[in-house]
Amino acid sequence: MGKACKIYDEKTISKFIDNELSSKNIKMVSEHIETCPICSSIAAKYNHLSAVFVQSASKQLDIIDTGLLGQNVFEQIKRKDHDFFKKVFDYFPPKFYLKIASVFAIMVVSLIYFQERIIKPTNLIGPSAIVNSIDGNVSSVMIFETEKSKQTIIWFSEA
Amino acid sequence: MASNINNIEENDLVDRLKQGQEWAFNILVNKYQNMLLKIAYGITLDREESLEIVQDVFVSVHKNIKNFRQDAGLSGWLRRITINSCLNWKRKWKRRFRWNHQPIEPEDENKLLKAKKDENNPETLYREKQIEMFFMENVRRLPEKIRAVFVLNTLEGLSYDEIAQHLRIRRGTVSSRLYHARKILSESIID
Amino acid sequence: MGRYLNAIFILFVTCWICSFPNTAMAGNSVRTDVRIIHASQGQNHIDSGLSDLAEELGSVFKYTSYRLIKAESMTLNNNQQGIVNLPDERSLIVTPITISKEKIKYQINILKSGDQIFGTQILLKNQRSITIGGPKFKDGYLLFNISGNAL
Repeated sequence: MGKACKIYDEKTISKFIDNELSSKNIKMVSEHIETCPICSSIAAKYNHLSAVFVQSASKQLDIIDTGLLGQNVFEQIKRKDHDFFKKVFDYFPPKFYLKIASVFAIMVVSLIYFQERIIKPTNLIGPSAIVNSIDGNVSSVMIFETEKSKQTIIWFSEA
Repeated sequence: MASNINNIEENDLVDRLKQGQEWAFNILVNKYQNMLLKIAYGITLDREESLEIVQDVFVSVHKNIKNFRQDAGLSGWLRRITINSCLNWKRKWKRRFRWNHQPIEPEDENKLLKAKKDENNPETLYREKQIEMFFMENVRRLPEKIRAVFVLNTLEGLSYDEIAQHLRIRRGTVSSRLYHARKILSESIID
Repeated sequence: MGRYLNAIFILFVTCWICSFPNTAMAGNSVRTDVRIIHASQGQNHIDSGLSDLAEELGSVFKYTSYRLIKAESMTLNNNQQGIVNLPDERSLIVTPITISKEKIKYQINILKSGDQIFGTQILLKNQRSITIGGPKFKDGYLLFNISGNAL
């Protein structure tokens, strides 16, 4: 916060020009400004800023033809009234539909990604194991499959 | 007394609007469009966008007038809707994109914009325009939350309490933001 | 209202994702369940935990009694040995060599008094099982049912 002078800072001057100080302070600041060139220059500058902005904004706004604004508004209202789907979708805010769509998308993606656990896995088809190699001190080895679930069975006889 | 009359008129207008009387809506648009355009332009600094915003505000009011509680003033309600629309994040990003990809002063091609008249000699006009452009560029650089406070104070003449109520901030915050805006902008003004 | 809607939305999505088993992608470990079974032709008896297996084995063997001697569940990493002690100084060593979401390559060795009497390398389909038998034991035979579930 900058100091305007030794008595009042710029923030106080800012509040003063907006009439936002207490009535007692307004009187004191007002009397001070009359005698302090620094504070009066700051107050004048702040007032000038507002005036410049109002002037610039007014110039820009003067260019706008507001006559057609009302017409455009009514046209938009008529369009919305005739738009059945818009009426239906306007019932809930757009964020609600976005959330529903997101939930649906997440469900679809996760179903696709995790489909192996949901759709019967292909590893249930066929023998449960493939025997790569056998060794040991055995006299014979037999390999079977159960009828129903095709579970692999290795049967060995010790030598 | 004047404000009482205004309140009666406002309440009567709201009642008629809630009944769906179209001519009442015409009155609403004519009465408030300038005020709302001022606010919208002050915050967005974009003529086309402020037009779009004010149009949307009126369409939204037409749709939601039945939800309007008459304990809050109509002008205050309209002002709040306009401010919220201006500060809406989607518009902010659109605006930021436009500012980064278009010149500051776009061509006046919009049919709602009238042609300006030459009032001074070309040199003076050019110099004034340059100063104004420089000043407005600094206004544009203000963070939107600070600019909103500055706009409501200078263009609308609202008090700190009224601004605090509209923007849902504390009174002290209004004072700080306004001071901050003035500090930055005063650097762009030649003494 | 908006905040509650957000909270419900986040909760729903989290529950939905967590409801899926997190084993779609196999990591580096496999849960290996080993059941040591005594099969014999004695009095009709099937231990309650073996009814599924007894039904399957019934299509191949003519045993009438299936008793569960031991059941062990181990989580084994790649090349980590899982040892199950068996009766008569025997032991079963199960080692996953490669683990994928479709198949698990196991090296299975059966030892007696420290010497290997039987060894096999198999490719077991994930979440399936294999039964190996049968050293003689008492009045019947020992069967080893091994199942793998890649994590």
